[in-house]
Amino acid sequence: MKVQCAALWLLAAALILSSVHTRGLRKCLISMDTHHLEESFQEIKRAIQAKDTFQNVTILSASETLQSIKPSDVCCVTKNLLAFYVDRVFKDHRELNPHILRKISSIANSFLYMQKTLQRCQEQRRCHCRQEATNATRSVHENYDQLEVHSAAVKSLGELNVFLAWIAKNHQEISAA
Amino acid sequence: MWFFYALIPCLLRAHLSACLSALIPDGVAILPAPQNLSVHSTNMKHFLMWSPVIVPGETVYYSVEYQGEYERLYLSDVWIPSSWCSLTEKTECDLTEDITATVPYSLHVRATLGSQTSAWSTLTHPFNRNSTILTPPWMDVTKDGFHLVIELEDLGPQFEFLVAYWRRESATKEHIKMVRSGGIPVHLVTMEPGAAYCVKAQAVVKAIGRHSAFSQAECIEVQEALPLALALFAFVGFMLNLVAVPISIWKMGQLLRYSCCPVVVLPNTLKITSSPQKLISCRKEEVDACAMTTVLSSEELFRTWI
Repeated sequence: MKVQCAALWLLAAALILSSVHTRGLRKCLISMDTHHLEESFQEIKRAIQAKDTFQNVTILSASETLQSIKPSDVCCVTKNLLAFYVDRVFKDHRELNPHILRKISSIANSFLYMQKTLQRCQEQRRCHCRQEATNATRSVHENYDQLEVHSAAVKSLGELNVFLAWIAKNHQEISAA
Repeated sequence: MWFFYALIPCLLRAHLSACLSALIPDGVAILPAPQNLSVHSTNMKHFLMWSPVIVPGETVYYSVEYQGEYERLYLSDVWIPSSWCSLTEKTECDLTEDITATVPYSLHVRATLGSQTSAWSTLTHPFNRNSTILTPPWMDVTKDGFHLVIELEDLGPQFEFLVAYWRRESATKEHIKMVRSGGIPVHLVTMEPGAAYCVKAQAVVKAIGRHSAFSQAECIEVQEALPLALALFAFVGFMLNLVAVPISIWKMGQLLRYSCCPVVVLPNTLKITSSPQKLISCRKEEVDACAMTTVLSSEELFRTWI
């Protein structure tokens, strides 16, 4: 009898844990085609990257930071990096060329729209930030602060393709969440 | 008050317009700003329109600038010149390539005439592209043999289409197919003979999370397979061909043989039997004379001739 009770308790605990785990894994997806953003950036990439004078430094650290992000941290990191670009990078970069200005405006306003989409996830408590995710985005800010602000903004703009590719990869609608 | 006092000498000298110009700094507008701004947006194509500024005998030019929500919140002094409408004569502006995010955009336009420019006239309510009117898509439904094929209008890369099709007699069993782009024929289904199929479609724009109404359903029928009488006729014709063709080939062969290598056949009057015979029957008195005469066979004749 005791063995049977213990087995039932174990089963119940396993069920509860798996449902919590599943909820955590349920992705908060930006159901948006980033293809046109990548196209917009491609048009100005050469001009932006040509202004980057610190070739040996990277701010997003693609190979280390972004690629190691776990699926459960994708929402948090996306939200934080969108805020990084919207609150710091686009503001710190003042563009005079009208063509480049239009493309940056298109990307910036699209990022604003993505933030609003993720805001809904946050209100549903589906965008929890664990320590690892917070550490990853903190290192991005630290890298940015080490450079002079205009140079840092140009470098971050030049690394937009890395961020956009990461969003496209991690926010695919693979299955109904 | 001071304005009025400054104006008195001018009024006395009756040069009011000159005085007004003197009081207003150079280059600032007396050109009126465009009025009645409105945005017309259909199927993700956005046009800003306004009433013309009329100056008799002169051509007035217009310039349009926009400001996305990002610029409005973070860079409030930044307005971006539109791609196609800097110093345009038209009183409308295609902003499709400028309004590229699903956020509210502020728009303003001003008039220019020579060195004069008007004040900026701003659209009352910012425009968000998710308010675009989506119309049911035009579609061309055809059959290619037994294949049901649909071609939808090309509305650009932001559009996908949801196509529903069903057999007319079972309207509740709808099949759905997503068509990624218009302007290309797409195969829907291979139809069963004698059945009628109906199709309808709606446009879907993921970027704004909206879709159009469905188009009117179009139905198309597939003919039965060949009727029985026609099939029977075809069968008989086929069988006749089966017989006629070998006979024709044989006859052709004979014709060829006779043309190329004819067999020499002697007429019956020249034919001789194997033993020489008296052919001429003689009366009695002529028997001897006749007896002297023998007829040779054709081979003997030939030999003597050689």
